[in-house]
Amino acid sequence: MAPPPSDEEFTEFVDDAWPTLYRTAYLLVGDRGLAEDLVQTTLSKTYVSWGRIRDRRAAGVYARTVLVNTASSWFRRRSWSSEIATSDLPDRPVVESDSDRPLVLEALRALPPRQRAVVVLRFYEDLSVEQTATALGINAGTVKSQTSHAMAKLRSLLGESVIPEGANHG
Amino acid sequence: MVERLTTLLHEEAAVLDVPVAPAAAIIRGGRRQRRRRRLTEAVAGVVALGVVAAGAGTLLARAGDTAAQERFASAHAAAAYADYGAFSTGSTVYIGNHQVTFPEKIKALYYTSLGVLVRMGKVAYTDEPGPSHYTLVRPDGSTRDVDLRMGDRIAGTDPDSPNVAYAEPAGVTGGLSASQTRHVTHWSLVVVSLETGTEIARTEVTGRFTWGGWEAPPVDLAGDRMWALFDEGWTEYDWRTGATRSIPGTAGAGIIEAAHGRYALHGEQTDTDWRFFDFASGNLVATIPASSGDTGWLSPDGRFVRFDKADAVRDGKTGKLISPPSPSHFVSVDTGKTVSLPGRVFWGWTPDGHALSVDPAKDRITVCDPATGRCDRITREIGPGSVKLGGALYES
Repeated sequence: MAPPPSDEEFTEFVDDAWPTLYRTAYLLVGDRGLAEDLVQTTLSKTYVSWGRIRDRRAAGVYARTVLVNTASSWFRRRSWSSEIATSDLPDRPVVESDSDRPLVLEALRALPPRQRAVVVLRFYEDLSVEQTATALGINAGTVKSQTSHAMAKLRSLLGESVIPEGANHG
Repeated sequence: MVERLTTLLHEEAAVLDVPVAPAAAIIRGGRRQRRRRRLTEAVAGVVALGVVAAGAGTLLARAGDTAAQERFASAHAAAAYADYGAFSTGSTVYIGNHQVTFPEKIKALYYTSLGVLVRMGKVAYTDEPGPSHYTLVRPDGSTRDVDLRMGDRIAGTDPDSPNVAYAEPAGVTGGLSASQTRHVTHWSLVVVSLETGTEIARTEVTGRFTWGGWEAPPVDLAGDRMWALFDEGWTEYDWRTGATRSIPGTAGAGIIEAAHGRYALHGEQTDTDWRFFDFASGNLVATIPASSGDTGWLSPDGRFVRFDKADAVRDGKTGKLISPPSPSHFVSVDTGKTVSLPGRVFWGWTPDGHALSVDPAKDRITVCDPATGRCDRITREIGPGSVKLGGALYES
C-alpha cells in the first residue's frame, strides 16, 4: 500500500476540492446533510487511494468520480428511493414567476435518484452519454432512457421555457 | 436546447451556502480506512489460497513465456480462437493468431462457435447514430457479411452456438426509438443462423420493456433456447419446439447478466450477494458474496464470474487514465473458488472462459486461467485505436 499523503498536503487538497464537490453532491442528493456525508466519504476514500493517483493534478477529477460512484452505490439501496425521492410531486408546471431559479432544485428533487444523477452529470458536469454511463456504472442506453424520462418530468414541472419540447437528449 | 437548464443548475449551485471543509475529520476517516484495508489484505494473504495460486501462476508464466509464444504461433486457427479469443483496436479484429482489417470502426465482438461476430460502423461507440454492420470473422481470418438490422440492442450469442438471437417489436419494420418501445407489448423473438445468414426461428411473445433504453430487450442464447429480459422477467423461447415460458422469480430483474444458460440476480435483498441460476432447471447454482458496488460479469461459457470495482477513473475530458482499475476477482460459479489476477487492467474473456487483457503499448496480450491464476503472455503487433475485448459488453 502506497504511503498516505501528509496532513498538510491533503488538507490543502480538501480545502480546494470541497466547495466544488459539495455543490455537485448537493445537486445529486438534494439534502445538505447527505451532501456533506457524501463528500466526507468521498474524500476519505480519496485519502486511502492517494498513492494510486498517477497525476496529483488530476486528484480533483478522481475525487469527483469517487463521489459519483459512491452516490451511485447509495442509489442502489432499495431504501433510498423511499427516503429521498419525491416523485409524487404534481405533473404540472411549478414555475409561475419570472424567476425560475429557486424552483430548479425543487424540480430536481422530484426526480428519482438515478434520473437526477444523470441530469446533474450531463447538464451540470457536462459529461457525455458514455462518460455518464461510466461514472454511474450503467449502460449508455440506460443513460439515454433516464435522460429522456427526466427531461419529460422536468418539462412538466419547469415548463417549456426551460426544457423545450424535443430537448430530450436521450 | 437545454442551455437554460444548464445555466440554472450552475446559478443554483453557485449560491449554495457551502459549509467549512472538515479536513481533520476526513483525514481521521481516511486513516481508519487505511488501517482496515491493511488488516483485510493481511488476512486475505493467509486464507485466500486462490490468490496465492494466482501469484505462483504468474511466476510460472514468466518462465514459460517463450513456450507460450510458441504455442500461440503454432496453434491451429480454431484452437487459437478458443484459447486466445478475439479483440480489436480501431478497425482491426485480432482473432486467435489471425487478424483482419475492416473499413469501419469496430463497436463490439460476440463469440460464436463459427468465429467472432463483429459489429462495426462509422465510429467505435455503440450509442452513436448510424447503421451498424455485422460480419462473421472465422478463426482463419475469412469473413462473411451477415445481413442483420438490429439497431441499438443487445443480441444473444454463445461460444457453442452458430446462431445469433435478438428481439424486435412485433410487426414493426424500421425499428423504434427507445422511448417508443415503452409502449410496445408484443415482441418477436428471432434466431438467425450465421452459417447460412438466414432466419431459422421466430415467435411472438408479450411483455413490456421500459427500463433499458435500447430498442428491444436484451437477449441471451444457449443451445436450442433463447431468453429475453422484459419488465416481467426473463422469457424463454425453445426454438426447436416453439414453446415459450416465463422464468419464475425474475420479475423486475434489472441485471442483464446471463451466459450459457445461466443468469444472475443481484440487489433484491442485499447489495453484496450475487445469485446465479440455471435457466432450464431453475436451480440456484451459486450464491457469491461480493463487495458493495462490485459489478459481476459472467464468462461466455458461464463457468466464472468476474467482479470489478468501479474505481478506474479517466479524465472525462481527455480520456486519460487517472487511476487504473483495481485487481479483478474471478470466482468459479461451480466451486466458489476465488482467484485474484495480478495487474490493474481491463479484462475481457476468451470463448472458453479465460480472462483476456490487451496492452497495445507493449504489443502484448495476456490470457489467464481463472481456475488457477496461471497466465500466458503473448507478444503480437497491435495497431492503434480504441480497444474492444471479446466477451465484454459495449452495447448502449
